[in-house]
Amino acid sequence: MTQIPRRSPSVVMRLDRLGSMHQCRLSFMRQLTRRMAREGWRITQDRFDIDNHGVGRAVYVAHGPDRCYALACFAHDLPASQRSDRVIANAWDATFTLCDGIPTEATLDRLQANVPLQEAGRITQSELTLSRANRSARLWDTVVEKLAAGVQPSAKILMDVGYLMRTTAVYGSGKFGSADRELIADRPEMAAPFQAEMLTVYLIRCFVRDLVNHMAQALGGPKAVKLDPKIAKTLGIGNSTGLGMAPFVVNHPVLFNNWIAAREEAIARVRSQPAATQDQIDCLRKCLAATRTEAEHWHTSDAEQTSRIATLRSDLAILTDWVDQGAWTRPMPWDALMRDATEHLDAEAQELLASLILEPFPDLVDPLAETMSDTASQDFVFDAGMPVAAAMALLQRSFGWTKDIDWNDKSAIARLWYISAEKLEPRLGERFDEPIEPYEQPLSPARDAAYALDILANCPPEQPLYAVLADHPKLRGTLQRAQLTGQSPYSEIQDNTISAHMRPIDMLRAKLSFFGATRFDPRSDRWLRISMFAGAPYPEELGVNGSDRWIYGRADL
Amino acid sequence: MNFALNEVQSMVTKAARGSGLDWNFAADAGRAARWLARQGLDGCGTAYAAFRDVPGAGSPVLTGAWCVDHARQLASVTQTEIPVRAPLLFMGFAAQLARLRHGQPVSVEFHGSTWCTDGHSVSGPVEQPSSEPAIILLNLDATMGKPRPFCTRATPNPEDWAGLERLAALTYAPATDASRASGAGAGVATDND
Repeated sequence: MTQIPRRSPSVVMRLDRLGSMHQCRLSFMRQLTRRMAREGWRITQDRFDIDNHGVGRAVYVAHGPDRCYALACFAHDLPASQRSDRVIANAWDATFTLCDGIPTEATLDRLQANVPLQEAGRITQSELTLSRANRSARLWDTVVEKLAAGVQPSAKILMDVGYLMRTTAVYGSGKFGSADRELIADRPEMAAPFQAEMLTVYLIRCFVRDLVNHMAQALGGPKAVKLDPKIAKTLGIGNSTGLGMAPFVVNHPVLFNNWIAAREEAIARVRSQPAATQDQIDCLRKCLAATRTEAEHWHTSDAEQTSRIATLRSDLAILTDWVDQGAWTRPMPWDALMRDATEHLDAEAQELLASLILEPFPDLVDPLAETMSDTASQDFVFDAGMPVAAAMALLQRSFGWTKDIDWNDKSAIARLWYISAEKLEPRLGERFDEPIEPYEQPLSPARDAAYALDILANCPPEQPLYAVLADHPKLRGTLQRAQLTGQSPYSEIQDNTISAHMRPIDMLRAKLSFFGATRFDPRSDRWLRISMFAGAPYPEELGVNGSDRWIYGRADL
Repeated sequence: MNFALNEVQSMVTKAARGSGLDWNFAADAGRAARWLARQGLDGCGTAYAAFRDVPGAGSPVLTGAWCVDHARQLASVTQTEIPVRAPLLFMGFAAQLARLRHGQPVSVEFHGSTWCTDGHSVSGPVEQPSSEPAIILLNLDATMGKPRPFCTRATPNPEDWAGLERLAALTYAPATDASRASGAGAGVATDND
């Protein structure tokens, strides 16, 4: 059987391509819901002590086969003037922590004294995540008032916004004192990346639905009705994400490689299929139709993204024609479809199709989920005995393209990443306009690699790296990184992360697509809003059906 | 207060950079401190002592990185030419040496006591050693004693942690009007809905 190779990193790892990625079967949200459905997880509301003003605490417990995890929720009544979705805000409508096991009363008291605070709050290794959320100012009061009056809110308005509450960051991996990743990484349910964070958001979504019903009941008494389950299902949890997330994909090159490589391997496996069955074609057709509907609800105030969405809508119409008019008799029809898309459609539609063709092939694709963690980086040791020629080969593979960049041109190095003293968050600044160069973070691997390649080109090829480092100690980080990523072809962004033209949201979107986020809504070139778990089954529907392709929101998938 | 090991690594990395080390060596310092904390040793206090300037004494980070880089050139028993500050931090690099040598234990002797690592665990005295500068004797052909149990949290001396925070703060750029307006990109759009 002919094997179609994985796509080249020189295509996949460009920023405009990473910034066009979409969720797929391997996304972390979908891995979580698939596991919960398969293993028969039970989710219970163990406590809901919330008063008529929406103040109090609640606990939701997810019971897995071996362990359980509990979301402790602390709800507040925040004056509207304090509501902001910036991660640096001082107060929230609700704050959450995911406990490793069921918390006692004393634990809840300890958490209540800490979780609602910002930097001053501390959690322990018995907690896995920390998150804060605000109600949607556009929707919350309206929805509560409608339900209280016994009327369902407009499904269209709810669809357009997509959520009733949005979180800021969901912190884990030791942040604010939470458990280190290594404490849970060997549990099957936590082995895939960000499963504790995804479970947190999934349980927050349950809490939000219950809270809106509770507040409507408190306001309307006997007149009140519950939010129609069909409408509730379309709602996700919103999230605002900014530059804080961008350095992650540069700082975890092997992990990022493992995500991209898993998806690329999945795409290659499907493209290598010799033929398509009618069931597979039907599955693709339904996913595509649902995606077209979703694209109609995809709104953003960002001009560039708006234009990309418009092109995507027309590209999706073309794709639908191709799928309906059946070019399916061609040999290797999945590959042929991808080739047509590469030739005729924009990157948004190409990446969407690449994700969609994985849907009919759970057996080929889903096992790759096991390859998406990074267990190697922690024990990596730099071998400075490597000869110059071998190091150059590694650098050339990921950064050979940098020879076309004129690094003396100011626009090539116009930006730099730094941490702001005021907010302790990553920021992007203008190198030549602001006094920030001494604070530059090491987030420009392309420039550093180009510099290293220049120096190595003048060294004897057989010379060991330690001899080069004696004169050029600054190269050590770049050479170390090149070795660390030696087996990881998709580890490096093949674009200049400090150029005047880069859009940081491309880095954010790549990461968020692997989370399984939808409704990418850029608010500037530096932050965006997304939706998480929109369409996902609530606990009572888990495992019934639709726990797999819920993202398409169709009962027949 | 106790801290996650990730917090230790992150804080020591920033403090090392704040003390003037290049980012790469700073990252190595962060990894070494985390590794010590995992062994139940005082990675934070040791790191903070390592970043204080002591005339005539060498950096355990640069010395350690040099030894790792020259792993194949080192004699089986080697001694540093000058005293090294906070010599326990060197153990983090000795562990890298042991891993490069496929787990063959490496020992490090200073202040009259001997510490040994196979890259994974540490054996040695129960007490935390002095952070005063010392000549380090490195033996590439050692035998492990009883490994110390692993720890999952670090409980640094608050003064050491505060010292690390002060150094880390040197890596943060003071806010300017320009950074407030555009650094996070929030100035161009409302941040509430």
